[in-house]
Amino acid sequence: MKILIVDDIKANLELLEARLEGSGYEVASARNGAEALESLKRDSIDMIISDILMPKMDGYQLCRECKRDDTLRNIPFVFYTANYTNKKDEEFALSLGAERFIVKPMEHKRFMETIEDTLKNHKKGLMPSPEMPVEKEEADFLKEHSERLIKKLDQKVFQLEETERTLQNRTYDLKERVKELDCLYSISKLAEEEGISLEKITQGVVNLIPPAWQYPEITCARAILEGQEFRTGNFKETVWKQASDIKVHGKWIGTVEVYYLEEKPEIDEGPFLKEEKALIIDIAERLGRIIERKRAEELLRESEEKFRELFDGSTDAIFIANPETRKLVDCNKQAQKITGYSREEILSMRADQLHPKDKVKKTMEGFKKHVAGEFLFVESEVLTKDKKRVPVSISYSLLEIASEKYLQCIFRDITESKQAEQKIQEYSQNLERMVEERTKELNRALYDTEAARDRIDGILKSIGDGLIVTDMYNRIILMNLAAEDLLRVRFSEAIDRSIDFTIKDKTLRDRIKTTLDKKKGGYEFDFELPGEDTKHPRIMRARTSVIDDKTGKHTGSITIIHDVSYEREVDRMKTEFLSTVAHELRTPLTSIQGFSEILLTRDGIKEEEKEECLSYINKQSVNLATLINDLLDISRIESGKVFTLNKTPCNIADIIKYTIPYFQTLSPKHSFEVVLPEESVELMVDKEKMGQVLENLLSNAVKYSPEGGSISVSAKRIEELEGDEKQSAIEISVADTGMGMSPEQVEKIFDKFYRADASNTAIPGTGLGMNIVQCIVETHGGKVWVGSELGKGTTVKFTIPTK
Amino acid sequence: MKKILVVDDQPEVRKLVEMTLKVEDYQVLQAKSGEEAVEIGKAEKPDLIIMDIMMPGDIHGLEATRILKDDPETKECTIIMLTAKGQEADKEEGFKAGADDYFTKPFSPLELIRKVEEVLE
Repeated sequence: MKILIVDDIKANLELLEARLEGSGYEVASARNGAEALESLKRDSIDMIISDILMPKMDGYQLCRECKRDDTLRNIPFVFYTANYTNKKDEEFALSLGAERFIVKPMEHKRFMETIEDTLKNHKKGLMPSPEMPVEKEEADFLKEHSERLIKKLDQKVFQLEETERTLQNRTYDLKERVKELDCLYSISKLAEEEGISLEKITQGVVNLIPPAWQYPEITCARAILEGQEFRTGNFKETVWKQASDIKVHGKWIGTVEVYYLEEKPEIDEGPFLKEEKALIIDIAERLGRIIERKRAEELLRESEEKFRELFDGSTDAIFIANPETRKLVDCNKQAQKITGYSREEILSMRADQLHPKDKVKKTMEGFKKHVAGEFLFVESEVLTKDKKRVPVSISYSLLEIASEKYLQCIFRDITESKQAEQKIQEYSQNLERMVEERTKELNRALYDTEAARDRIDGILKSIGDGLIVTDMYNRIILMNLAAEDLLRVRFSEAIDRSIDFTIKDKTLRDRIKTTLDKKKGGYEFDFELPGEDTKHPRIMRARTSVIDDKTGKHTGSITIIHDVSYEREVDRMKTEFLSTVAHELRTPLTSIQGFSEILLTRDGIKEEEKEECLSYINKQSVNLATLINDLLDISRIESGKVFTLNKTPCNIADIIKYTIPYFQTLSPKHSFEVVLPEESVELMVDKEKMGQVLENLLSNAVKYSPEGGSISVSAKRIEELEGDEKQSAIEISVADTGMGMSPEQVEKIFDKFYRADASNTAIPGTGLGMNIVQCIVETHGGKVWVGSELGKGTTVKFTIPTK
Repeated sequence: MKKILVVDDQPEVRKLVEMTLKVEDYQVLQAKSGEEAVEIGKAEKPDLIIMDIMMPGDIHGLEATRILKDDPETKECTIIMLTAKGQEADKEEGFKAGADDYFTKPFSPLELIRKVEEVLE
């Protein structure tokens, strides 16, 4: 479908063409009737849409031409014309044979429906058949056509005038708008001027106001901004005033005012245009926004300065790097100082170029990790421009500057702390070594101490003396085995208990207590403990001392208990022995000294008397010699020396026979019986010592049977058991019928210094005889034993092996 | 003639004292035990008793001295201890028992006779 559109106004043509093509039609266009006829001759056209008023040939003429032409008559003809068209125009058009008369403007949809409808109806022939229009008379047509055209032209002219007037108004308005826009534009330009102050801007804005108003020559303006006034040169307050508030962040900070210096006719708002009202509001708003921005900029600049100051003033070197390219984009002064590079040099480098090669990998790992969001410190080194290494600790932080991400790298020079660290490390190593050595020493000391303690424990345990340690409150804190046995107390029961409850002996208790009271030294004292029988208590010698700690403070007492019973007994026996010895010595000496003095000093002593005296002297000298021998023997035994035996073969009978006569003369009261073996028995013995044994035994037999009686001495062969072996021996026995001894006395018979009846002072003796006997017999390999009964007598037997 | 009683269990000592006293004209009596000494002392009331201490029997020299000195009839009798017990303690015991003097064995017969003469004058 091809439609020919005809209009003298290009814009109309283009609009219509677009509308039709948009709906799928082909379009041809012509600027007037003549062009349209040309086009119709060339192309096959399905419809004609034409305007009315056109130069050269108008729409009416075109319609008339078409409908008069046989070839064109069937093409539907539609008038499409503006609204100043009246009813007569439409009638005239239809009278010329036009199919439709559409008045502009028509809604697009309806227009297109109308076009389509027209085409459809025309095809179906529904439309009033374009019968040959009533051929009007040329004159009629011209007359009517002229009328129509004149009317149209009048209308057109009026319309044009109207349009002209409107245009003029609009031009004026536009000019005003342009002035306004110009004003606003100038304000914007002003605000954008580099480094312009807010004061200058405000003043400039005020100055820009009058030219934007209708009557610039009589317009003045003023801005009051936080008490500060900005005026135009011609400023004067009048009654013709417009004003608007200046707000910053919604807060009132001042006003913009416009005044007319002269009265002007009232229009929209007093003498002011409503556009001017809008403008002043706009200006005030703009000024507010400029102030906002300027202030923000000021703040930003200040904070930037501050930041720069901090940045450059930092004692740490700071680099700002692009996290992707690692390019350094900024650095502070310290960064230049630490690296020795200038700012320009640094800004041409990448972050990894700051470090020595061996540190790059590790450091950049930190860099990457941080970029990935980890926060961390990295210890690294910086390689300076002159190739020195500076130890640094680096911390990274992400920055966002103008929505760009940057990595801030802060390098802290840790040379000093590294050195300090090294010193500390050296010191700590040193310290560790010292501690180790000291520990070793302590371990050694501990070991020594433990060993010493064990040793002391051992000593304390094995010590024969009793040992008691008490504290300041007289509680027992230590007791050894000997003390437990002596005091008959178990340490486990006595520990931490007062001695009042644990020690029975009052003397000991009191002394231990007063030792502490005395606070100095200690005591040495004896006390008695019950013995096996009440007659013989055990004698204890105790020594107490105060225990002081290192500072000299008393901490308790120590008591050492020594059983001196035996020593005392020995002492007693020794004293007794000495007095006995003295007595025994004095007895013979009395005779010797007395008789010899008489012999020397007396004259006229009879011969027999002299002889008697001398025999006394001699006899007592012999006694004295025996006694001295006994003492010497015992002294040898005492000093641990063994008898040196001078063994010779001799007959035991001979020794007995040799000894008896002395006692027979000494003690005529006694009768001596001697029983000897029939055959002679020869023994290897020390003759003298054997004699001494017999003498001692016989002497005792005599001494302890003071009333006299029989004393029998016998010797016989026997077989005695020596272990499992039988061995032959001679058994010699000496028996008296004297006072005898109790079993207790028998038990002690071989003790040194023991005398069976010491209270019986009439019986002389050293208390050594039996001890000497035992010693001699045992040295000969024999045995000695005693049988006795009180009041019946005593028998002493001993053996001497024959081989 | 002054009566002197010599008390000692050892005949030799009695003999020695007797011989010592022979130079003067004294009647010398002898006792060989404490019991004898008390008996003879009471019977004879001697002027002087020379008394040993260690003697067999129930009454030794000290006891005999005590008995005689406690008896009003014999208490005037001078008693000289003549003993081998020569320690100071022994002497004290002797004087405590009532002895008038103390002689230690062995003794010098000369000194003894001088003492006897001094006592009996």
